[in-house]
Amino acid sequence: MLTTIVILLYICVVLFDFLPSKETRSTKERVIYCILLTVSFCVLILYSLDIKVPGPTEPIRNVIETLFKPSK
Amino acid sequence: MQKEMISARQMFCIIIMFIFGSSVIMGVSSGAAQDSWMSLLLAAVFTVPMLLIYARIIKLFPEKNLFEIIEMLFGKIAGNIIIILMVWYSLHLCALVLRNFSEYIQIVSMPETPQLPIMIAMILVVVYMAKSGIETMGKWSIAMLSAVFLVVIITILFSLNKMDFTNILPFMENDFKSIAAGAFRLYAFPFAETVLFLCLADAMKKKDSPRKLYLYALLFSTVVLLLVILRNLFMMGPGMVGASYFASYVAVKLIDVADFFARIEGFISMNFILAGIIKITVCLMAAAKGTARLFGINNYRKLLLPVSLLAVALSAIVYKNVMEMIDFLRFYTYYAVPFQVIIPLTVWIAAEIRMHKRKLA
Repeated sequence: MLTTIVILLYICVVLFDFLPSKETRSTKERVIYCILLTVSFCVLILYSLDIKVPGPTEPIRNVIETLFKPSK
Repeated sequence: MQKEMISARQMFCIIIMFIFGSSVIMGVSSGAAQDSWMSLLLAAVFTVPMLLIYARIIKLFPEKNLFEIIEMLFGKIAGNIIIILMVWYSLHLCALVLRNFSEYIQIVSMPETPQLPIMIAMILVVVYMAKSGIETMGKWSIAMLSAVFLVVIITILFSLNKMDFTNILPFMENDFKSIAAGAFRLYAFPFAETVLFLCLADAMKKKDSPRKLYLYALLFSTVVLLLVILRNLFMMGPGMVGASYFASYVAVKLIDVADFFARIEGFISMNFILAGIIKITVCLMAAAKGTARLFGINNYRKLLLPVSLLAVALSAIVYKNVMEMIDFLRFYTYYAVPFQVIIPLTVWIAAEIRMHKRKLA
């Protein structure tokens, strides 16, 4: 179900945001738009399929714990 | 692209709504039990010098945003590295607030619904708001700030009969170190997060005083957050406040006036949605502006949707559960220092040196 929602969302984004303004965007803008969209799409598809994607919290916590040892 | 400008009053309301953001609902947790209110006041005092620095940066470079200032001061390579760091912070903060929101909705009203659809619904509203521009956001903030403030006042008035004023005693039971640690936590979240307004500073008019704006917003939000802390404390006592994930929601749930006026915790959700939308929008705008600057794109609005979806993706993987979200607060205090203190301080020093050199020349 979640995977369907994600795929539908991205189809809508491409149909209603990317394609209508394609002509007004430069090649650079289009490339950056597509890269950002692809990255988020991959992460969300993996998340919706229950595949563990490493988040930033763990490394941030490890670094801070090593450097500062914050109190509970 | 036509430049967007907003009035001082609109910016004032946006800053206050931004500070309220998740704090009004998370209950401003400092970890200092009944001395939380002292932590809050101390945090406000700690924040003043930093806000003066933010205001000074805006004053030195009127109608320029942080990314333009950084590029001007540090050149292309070093500037881009600092811009990447600030974009990361904006995007990460956007994801964290979005996650606070979805966790809240799931815990209080929709336990069976997955969080992703909630996040998507929220971010679509935020993107619509951001695409409408900062002027629209300013006007909306003016209208909604009164609603948020009214809800806080109403909940305080109706909870008077349930309040136990001895909950605040004994004073200073926690040592000064714990109170200061609580203040440091409240400094990082929510006060110093206003660093993101440097990214929107190009929308402020040259004649408006950023110092007054920042300080009045700090004063107003401190007063309201103090009322929120005291309401929660008087209603539930320090033990329950510390044990609740969403202290304000639990406190307002207890309101019952003459068996007639009860279950008004929906008001609290309304506050969270109204203020949360502003906070996420500001973070998203900052992230989109930074990304656009980084790649030399003139109109940041063209990147709002892909950046917002990146925030949703980050938000989905940022925490495993609500316990991890609450626990991250104590790490966030340290994590935020480079973005809230070190980068603005470096920018300010570099800006002063540049201005001094220009004067000498």
